[in-house]
Formats: sequence, structure tokens, C-alpha cells
Amino acid sequence: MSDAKLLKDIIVAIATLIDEGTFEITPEAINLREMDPSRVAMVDFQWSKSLFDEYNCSQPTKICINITEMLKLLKRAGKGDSVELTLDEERRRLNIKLRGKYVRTFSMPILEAAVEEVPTPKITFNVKAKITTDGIKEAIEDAALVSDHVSIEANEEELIMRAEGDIMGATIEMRKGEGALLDLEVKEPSKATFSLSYLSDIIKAASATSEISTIEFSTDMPIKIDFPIREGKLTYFLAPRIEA
Amino acid sequence: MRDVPKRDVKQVVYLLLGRPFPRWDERTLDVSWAIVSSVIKKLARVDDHTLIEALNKTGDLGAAAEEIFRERKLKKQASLIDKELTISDVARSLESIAELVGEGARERKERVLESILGQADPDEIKYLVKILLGEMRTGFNEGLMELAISRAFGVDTEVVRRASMLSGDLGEVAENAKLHGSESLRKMKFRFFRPIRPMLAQNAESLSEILETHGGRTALEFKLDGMRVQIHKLDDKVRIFSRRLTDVTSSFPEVESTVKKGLQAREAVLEGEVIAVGEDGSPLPFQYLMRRFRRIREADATLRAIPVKLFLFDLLLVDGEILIDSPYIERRERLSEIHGEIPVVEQIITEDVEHAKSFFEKAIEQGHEGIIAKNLNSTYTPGVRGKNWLKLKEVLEPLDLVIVAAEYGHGRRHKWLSDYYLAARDGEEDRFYVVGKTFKGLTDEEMSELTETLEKLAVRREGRRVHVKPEVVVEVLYNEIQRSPKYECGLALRFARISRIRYDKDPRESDTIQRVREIYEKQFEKKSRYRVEDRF
Repeated sequence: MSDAKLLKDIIVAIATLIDEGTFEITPEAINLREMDPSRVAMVDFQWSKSLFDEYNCSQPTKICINITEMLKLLKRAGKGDSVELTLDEERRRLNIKLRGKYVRTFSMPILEAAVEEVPTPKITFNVKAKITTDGIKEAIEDAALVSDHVSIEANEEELIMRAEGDIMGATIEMRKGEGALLDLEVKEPSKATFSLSYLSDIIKAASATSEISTIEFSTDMPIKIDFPIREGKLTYFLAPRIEA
Repeated sequence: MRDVPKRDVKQVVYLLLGRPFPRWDERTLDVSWAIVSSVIKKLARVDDHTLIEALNKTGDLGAAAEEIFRERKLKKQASLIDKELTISDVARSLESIAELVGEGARERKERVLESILGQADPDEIKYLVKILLGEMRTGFNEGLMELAISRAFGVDTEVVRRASMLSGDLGEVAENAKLHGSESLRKMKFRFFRPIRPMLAQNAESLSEILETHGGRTALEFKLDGMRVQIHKLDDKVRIFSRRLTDVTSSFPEVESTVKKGLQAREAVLEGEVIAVGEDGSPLPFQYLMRRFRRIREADATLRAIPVKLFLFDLLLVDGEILIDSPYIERRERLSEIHGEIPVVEQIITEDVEHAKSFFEKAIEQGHEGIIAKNLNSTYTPGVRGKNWLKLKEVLEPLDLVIVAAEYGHGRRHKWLSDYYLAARDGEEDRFYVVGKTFKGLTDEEMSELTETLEKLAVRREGRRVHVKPEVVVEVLYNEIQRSPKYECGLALRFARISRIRYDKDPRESDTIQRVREIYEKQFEKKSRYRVEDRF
């Protein structure tokens, strides 16, 4: 693909939850769906072949990669570098070729893949909100100043985030159609609480991939955070904290 | 064990005993405290400070992890998918951890640990961490496990014991008992290269007590100050196991070849003592033997510098015949038929206290630790510390030493200052020299009382360690005084234990470092000295 930055941003977004991950490569697309080790959050990623300038895959295959290491290599890419990924099946290695002022080829080992399949959580969402990524990022940063968790609630008109710390508190209100909150669909008023440490890591890491994000949630259910990306998807699920 | 699925019973037995694998299995996890603690921090999303706080409160990493995860659960962090962690998940993970070696192994181990601990409940985490670090410390041991198997599956305790002893694998015993019952246990055979737990000796106070206990007639053997070993020989293969049943063959290549060449039997399980010897052939202090266990790279040089010698004293199996149920006198007789050129430990059989006394004195004279008395008619009872074997050692005079610092303990002892730095006063200058550290000898009550006293004397704190004013005098027993680079004075007490607290004694009346040196020097009137470097 012609822009290595695109790949780097995606790997940043994945690396925030996992150190090691299995990509499933089919003739049509690249997929990755993994949970973080403590099974609190999940990342679900797909890029279809149409995104790539060139895409060759004759039969489906799975490759397990050390994501942290891969990110280190991709960070070496200069502005405007193109990137080419090839799998050397014989030597069980992934080659990453960066083309810019000169050509660099890194190679890294393919790891033994974990056998576990990660299912997608089946949840009925009662709230769907479209927010600017900057807007939600700011809001989460505000909440993180005072507490380690935040409750998110919605009614027909607005989305409210509340953070209660030991000493300080914060309330963030977003009205439908004004500023950051682009759209809000509410089937039923809902409220759920989430760990800010996960939430801010996810949003920070994924913010470079899309200017808009969609959140979906229901009372005391996992939240789904979707970043619409070109020719694919980048979706996170985060389990709630259940307040007694 | 009754309720778990058949396929899990073996693993359940190992895990309850705090081991990832059966005892004879040489695989190790090689998981450090640092790896486990970093995984805990990462999974729970806590910092060093929180972990250290939990550690100070609980005393060990397993309990600290439990505490941290319980706290986290209180905050009710839900998971996306709830999947119960199974015994086979744990078993598979432990196996893959053991398989990981070489470059990148640490990172891969971390991933596996994250994955199992990430699925575990707080109390599961507690015990998994303890097993990973080999610090189970529940007090549950193989003897109790044998009883448990016997009760769970209605098999006679003796049958379980014997099957366990011969096979060396309680997991297999439990599995057989569950699947096939008592008869299958009787059929379990001895397995070479799986060490048998050693029979142990009780302490005796006097030779007359020994003679009386053994019915007026007993066998006395020199008690050598070396390392007790169990040697398995099957045709051309020889393996040497330590008292703690680990394979130490590579540390003693010449013992291996001596047995290979010298023993006049095709198959044998032997017991003996390996000692370090000086140039004149007389025994060297124990610490020189331990040099063998330093870095492997040095093994060759060490080998040349400190020769060792094997002395045999028991025979548990010879050419297909198991002798553990035969009386001592017969086993010793059979040993004398096959030992060939390999020396056996000097022994007498006597009914006479005077005769016994001169034998004991001869042992001490030759630089040995003392004697072991063995009941002539006794069978070999693995793992049992009974009265059939009694030991009598030369007693070194106790020292009155001063506590200068103490550390908070671990596990059950985490509330107490239970590990004490013992110091001897300088008779010339006004200062103290640490000569040893011990957590042995005191009762819970004494420890708790001493903690209060020492806390009042505290002058400085470093983590778990508290430095105190030198006020409390304790009477200390020990087995030997060694040279040691560990302490400034260059000497250290071996196996120090506190016999009583001398609140009545003034620290100014305690023993001096000069006195400690004198006792150290005196040891060499009998023992060979290792070159000039030992002289002060």
C-alpha cells in the first residue's frame, strides 16, 4: 500500500489492547479479532483487499504476530513511505518492506497461533451516538482528571458523562446536534459505567484512524465503539463496571 | 479428587502439592518473581505502589495478587466473555511455559501467564501464583496426599504408600486408584531414575538413650559432613539425586564414573554421602562441597581444586530385588557384597556404651559430624523421621549474640519481625559484627513479643528490614562456623537457630567476635584445612 502511516495507525490502535495477535488473511480481506488478556476489552478489525494497491492471497491463512514488535518496525517509516507485507511461509517469517528515499526490509517471526476463537458479543444496543473523535477524546480526558471510571448516560436530547472521584467530580454534557454530538438515537434511556483507563487508552490509540466515532451502549452492558475507516472496520467492545 | 473428571486427577494431585509437574519430572517453569509481578500489574492495571502495599499487607505475591484482584472485583469490572478456567487449561499452559527457552522466552512466558491469570478468579490467582513461584507453603505434603488418596478411593493406606514410594508419582497413584482401584496400585512397579524419599533420623541426646531405644543392641555409622545422595544405576546409566531429590549428576562426574566402574551389580539403588576431602584425604568442611554448585562454567576448575569422595551406607534395590522391606542388617550385608572398590561408611554393631563412646570419639577425632545409630531389624521407611535411625552430633557451645536488625517475615509470619540478624560484639572496639541470620527456633508467641520489643528499639527502616539498637541478647545454637564473604567479619554461623531469648542478659556480657574466631579455629584441630586462604 502506498502509505505506511495508514498501517502504522491501525497497528497502534490494535497494540493498545494486545501484545500478540492473530491475523486471518483471506482472498478478500485481512481480519483480526482479539480480546485483551484480562478479557475486559476486544478489538475487531477488518481491511478489505480493495484498500491495497496490490493484494495477493490464494488461500486463507492465519498468522500470529508480536504486535508490539511490529509497531516498533513501522514507527521507522518516513513520511510518504510505501509499505509491502509478504509472508515467507517456508521460513515462517513476515517481511515488511518500507520504500521511501531508500528501501528497507524488516523480517519478523510468525508465532504459534493460539487456538481460541473469539466470538463477537451479541448485544442489543438502545443508544447510538455519533460523536467527533476529538470531542469524545476531550471528554474522556476531562473525566480522567477526577476519577478512574465514568458513567455514560443518554436520553432523547443529550449524552451525559459523569465522573466521581474521591475528592472531585465532573459532568460533561453533549446536546444532540450541537458541537461534538453529531447524532443521537435513543430507543430507551440507558446508563453504564466504564473504566477510564481502558476507555482513554482505546480512544487515544484509535483517534488517528477516523475523525468520527460511533458509540453504542445499553444499561450495564458492554459499550461498542466504532471508528469508520476506509474499506474496513475498526470496532472495540469494552465490558462495563457493574455498580452495586 | 473424587469429583474431578478422570483426565484431571493426576494434574489435581500435582497442583495440590504445589508443583506444576510430578516430582521426578525435570522440567522447570523458570518463571521469576519479576515476570509474575509485572503480569499482575498489567492485568489489574495497578502500579508498583499498589503492589508493594498489598505485598506488605499480605507477605507473599500470591496473597497480594488475590487481594488486588478482589479489590478490582469489588469495583465490579465485568468481562466480555466469562469462561471458566479448567484444570486442563492450567496444565496446558504450564507445559507450554516449561517448553519456552531461549531468545524471547520471557515475553512468550508473559503472554501465557497473562492468558491464564486473566481468566482466573482471585482465589485461583492466589494459588496459581504460588505454584508458578514454587511457594505453595500450605503445609500440605506428600504424606497427607497419600492419606487423602487412601480415603478418597477406599484403598489401604499402606498400599498407597508403597505404590507412591515405588513409582515416585502420586499423580499416577491417584489416577490408578480412581480408575482401576486397589489391585492396580499393588501392581505398580519401581521406576528407575525417580528418586525415593530418604528415610530420616531423629536427634538423640546420648549413647545410652540410643542403646535403650534400639533394644540394647544397635549399629553405629559415622555421620559424614557432606551431601547425602541417592544413586540409581541401571546398566550403564547412573544418576545421582540430592536429599531434596533433584538430579545432581552433572556436579559429580567422578562419583558417576566411580559407580559405573566400581559397583558389582547391574541394577542398584544406593544411598551414600559425598564429602569433600583435603590433600591428606581427611574431610573438609561442608561449605567446600557446596562450591560444586556454583556456575557451571567454573565446574572444571572447581573439580580439580576440591576432590570429592563417595561413601556408601545403604542399598534399597539390587538386580531386580527390592530391599526396602528387608531389615537394615540384611541390606548392609547385601551392600557389602556389591560395593567393590567403593568405600562404605565405617560401622560397628555394639551392645556396649563404652564401645559406642569410643566409636563416637573416633568419628569426631577424624573430623566427622557424629554418628547415626540404626536399629538392626528396621526396614527402610521412605520420608519418615522415626526412632529407627537416631543421630548424635558433637555439640558446639551455644553463643550469646545480639539482635541488631530484623525483617518482617512472609506468609503466616508477615506480621512479625521473624528473621533476625545476629551479631557478636567486638571485645576491643565498641561495635557489633553480624555473624548470621535466622528465622528458626522461636514460638509464635515469642516472635510476637520480640516484635514488640524490637519495634521499640527501631533506629532505621529499609523496606521490610528494621535496624534496632543492640539490646536484645539471644542464645544461639549452630552446626558449624564457616568462612563467608557475606558478612564483614568474614565468618558465618551455619544452621543458626535461637534456643532462647536472654532478656536477663546485658549486651555487654554477650559473646565476642574474638570468641567466634576462636571456635572457628578450633574446628581445624580435627578437620583438614583448605589451603592457606582459610587462615586469619
